[in-house]
Amino acid sequence: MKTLHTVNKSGQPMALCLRAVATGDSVLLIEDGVYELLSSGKKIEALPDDCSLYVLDVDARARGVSLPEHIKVIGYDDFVALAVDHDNVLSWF
Amino acid sequence: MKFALAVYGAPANSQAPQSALHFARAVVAQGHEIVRLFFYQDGVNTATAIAQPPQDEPDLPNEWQVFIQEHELDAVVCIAAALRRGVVDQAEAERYQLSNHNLRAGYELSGLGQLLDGALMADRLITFGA
Repeated sequence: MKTLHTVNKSGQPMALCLRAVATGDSVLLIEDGVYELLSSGKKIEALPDDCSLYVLDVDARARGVSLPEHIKVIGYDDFVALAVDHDNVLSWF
Repeated sequence: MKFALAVYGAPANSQAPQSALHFARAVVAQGHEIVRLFFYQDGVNTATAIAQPPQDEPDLPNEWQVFIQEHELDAVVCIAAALRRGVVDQAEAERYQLSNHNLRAGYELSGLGQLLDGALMADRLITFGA
């Protein structure tokens, strides 16, 4: 059972997401969630090793957030594909 | 695959309606089906016909309406959330003796049960929070 977690703000939504992620899940940063990449990465580093981290391309570029190489940068087509590939989607906001 | 989308934010103060529209377009483009759109909380403001965004900004309420009508989608606006925010259809305007109604064509006012119904009908429910 794989879950895709979307996070649209840094701070509490990200913190709550991290409490819920399980092995094999994926996390997608959208909207203001992309600011999580600026916050010295501490929260993101708490993700289990076998969780994939994605960031929505347009939202990161709209906010001038530079994208580290280890993060998978995706568009809306990939967002839909991720939703299909996972068993369910949880939105943290 | 069947998708249901829930939108909780308003065009004027949230990115939710914009993100949801981009997502919905990608869903349709990939040949999937959208079985329910549910506009809840401030998201009901997406369905008002009388908001006028500045001319140099995207007109999201209009873009949403065009998308809904083009694809004949089932678009439900939470009736309780809508009434408290001044989004009413003709029937509610008459019930409350209001001088006008402003729900865009293509939307339907209904209860929160339609969100649950959408979640049950769909393979995936995606929520776009405020």
